[in-house]
Amino acid sequence: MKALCNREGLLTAFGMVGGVVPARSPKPILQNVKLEASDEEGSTLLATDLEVGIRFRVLGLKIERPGSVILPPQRFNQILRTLTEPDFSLDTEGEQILIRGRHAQFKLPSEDPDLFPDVADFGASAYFVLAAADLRRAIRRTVFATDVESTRYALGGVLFEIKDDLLTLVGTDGRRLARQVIPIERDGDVLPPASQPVVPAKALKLLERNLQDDDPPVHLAFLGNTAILVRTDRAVIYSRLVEGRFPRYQDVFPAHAEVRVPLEVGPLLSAVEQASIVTSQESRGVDFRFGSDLLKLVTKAPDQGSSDVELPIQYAGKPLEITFDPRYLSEALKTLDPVSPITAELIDSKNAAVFKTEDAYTYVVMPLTKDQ
Amino acid sequence: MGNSRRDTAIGHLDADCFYVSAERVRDPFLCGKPVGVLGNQGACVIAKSYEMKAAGVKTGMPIWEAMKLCPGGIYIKRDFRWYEVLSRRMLEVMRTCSPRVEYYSIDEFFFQAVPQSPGMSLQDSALAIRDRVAQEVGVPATIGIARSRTLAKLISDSAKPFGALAVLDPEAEASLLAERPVSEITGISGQREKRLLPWGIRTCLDLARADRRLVRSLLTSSGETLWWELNGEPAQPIRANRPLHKAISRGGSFGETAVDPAVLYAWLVRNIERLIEELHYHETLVGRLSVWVGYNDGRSGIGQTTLAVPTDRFDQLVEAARSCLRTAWIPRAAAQRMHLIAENLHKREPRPLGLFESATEHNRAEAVAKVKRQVNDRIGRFALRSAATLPLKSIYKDTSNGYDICDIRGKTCF
Repeated sequence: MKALCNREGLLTAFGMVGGVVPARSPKPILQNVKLEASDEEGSTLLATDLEVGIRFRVLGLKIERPGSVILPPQRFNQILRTLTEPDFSLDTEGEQILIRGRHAQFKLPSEDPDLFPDVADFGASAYFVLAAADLRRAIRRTVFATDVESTRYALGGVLFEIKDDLLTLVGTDGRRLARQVIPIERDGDVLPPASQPVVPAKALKLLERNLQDDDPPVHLAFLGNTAILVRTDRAVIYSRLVEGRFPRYQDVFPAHAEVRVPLEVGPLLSAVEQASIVTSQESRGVDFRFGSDLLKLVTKAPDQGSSDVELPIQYAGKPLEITFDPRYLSEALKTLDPVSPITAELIDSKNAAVFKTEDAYTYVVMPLTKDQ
Repeated sequence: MGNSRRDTAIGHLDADCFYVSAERVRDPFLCGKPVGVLGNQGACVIAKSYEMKAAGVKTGMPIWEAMKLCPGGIYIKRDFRWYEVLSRRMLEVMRTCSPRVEYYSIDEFFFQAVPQSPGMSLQDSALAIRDRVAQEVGVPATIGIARSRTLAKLISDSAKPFGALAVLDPEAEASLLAERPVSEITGISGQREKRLLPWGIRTCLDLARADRRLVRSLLTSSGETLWWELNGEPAQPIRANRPLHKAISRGGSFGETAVDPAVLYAWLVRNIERLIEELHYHETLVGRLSVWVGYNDGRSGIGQTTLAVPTDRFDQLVEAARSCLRTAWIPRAAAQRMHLIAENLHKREPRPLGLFESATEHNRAEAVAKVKRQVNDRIGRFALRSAATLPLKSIYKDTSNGYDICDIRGKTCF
């Protein structure tokens, strides 16, 4: 393979696929990326850990001799960052890679590109279609609530539930649950998967990084009950689905609410962050005291001090006190638009609290309780 | 802005040959006689009376050597449960003597030293505290009072046994420090002591008078902390509330190796029950659990998991630990040791609740755990235990296995 490469184009591509490359693997070739250069199909950078894979279209490659090459990501990235000229030559010679800039050249050992496992391409003729901005927002608002270390494997991913023209994404770690509903369309005769597909958090973070709000619509297809393929503007991402049953998430939404408190995301987040300054690992709870037109956030940590933060609100209902782990609230609030309204639906200090936005986002969080 | 300097001093209480003194509390016949307390398998002397010390017996000495040196000695198997009862009593007394007490170990406390009655000097207060502990608990202890923790400990060491000494005058401090070798400071021994020697630092006073930057370069910031403390500037606070542990672990050697998965599982459950006791004591919940198993062919295995909700519940911990054991288990290999390590610890209150946790199930498990605790508190440890531990009949029959050394809080030796 021989090509004249644009440094910026390759750097962007490496940035996008780098997250997939495993730090350690029983198959050492997976710790590399593969660059395929073809006259007909253009240039593609591939990476996989066999669970998640990506094919990323590289721009700015002038192919002189088609072929493919295995590149060591860390060292190659360093070379890209330090080259001073916008273009450089990439050539393979026997088992070596030659990188030539105007003032520097490098020879790196390489491996047989045929040994690199294939990364599935998007071959579906019928698929789901959704707006890139919607999918990006839905991932950002749900993936943080997952728990990749749980022995309940299904909690390590986000549930994709398709019903009629709506896609519901749900992420939970067993203590809080985030749900976002977005519109979805169909291209061709495509049916929702029979089982509950759970997409691993790693694949979703990769997908989120590959999406821009103004990108063209994203295509989505399921390979039976085992894998998902997503086609974005420049990438195809493959991921095996998480094994295991997703918990019955519908059951966690309280049937009723004692009080509804209208709030605004930005000021609420600021107050939560301010109150959490005086918390410690031992005493991480923040007491939320809802009173007439005022929300008081109170903390008290032994040997650390205390805090008392006031937030004016529009509320005339009965007083209510509930304790939250502030991280659970701030992590969710950070994914929302600071000027958007949000409603807190509460029952008492022991039951789940529900936060809802006007754009179909629901966040359920369990309080901390002292009465055991 | 208030005064930056506090006008109170720091005290250190160190019970004199605590295990022996504790035995003497319940059996006065032992008073004045050479007494040795034996360790886990009854093989080593883990504590000795001053009478036995005078005969040349040292801590850690095997029983057969000790008996040669002190054939008339009385050797008793340790009873950690009893020692802990007395330790708690001492703590209760100390809490009435000081507004701030740190439970440093089973037989040592640091405390904020305050006059025991209006106008009483700290020297008289030290005597009063010592006498109150002896009178109300029956355990002789030595009290040291000084301007810092390190000085207080050095002073109580120098005043043993049954001493009470308050040294707050820098000149008196200096003459005391000049007499003590630097290795008597907790945290300075072995390599650290050797590093000081080329600079002529042999006594505590040498260290106190050394250049601060030199001490820091030789002993890092922990050494500099000791330097400040030796110079009467408190740098180590009294921790009345123990900071949350990074990890709590339970386990140890099996004695005999185990190949049978049922026996291995029985050990797992035994260790979980021990771990739960410790979690309850510290009012702590586990967020992450690891099970490590060591095999006699040198191999080892480890399984780790995070709990959906931090917990101290037996049923949830057993379920989590079982999946860890499956990962750590090597079929047909003879397992020799097991450790359960609880990490990512949370305070029990406020307790995080789970979204998918059934309140009925939770209440039932809590009720069962409460009954188990109450029965064991009243009748004895392991009186009520999981049936999964039945394969370890011989372990539970032998009362010497009633307590393992790591079940004793604040003591890490032996």
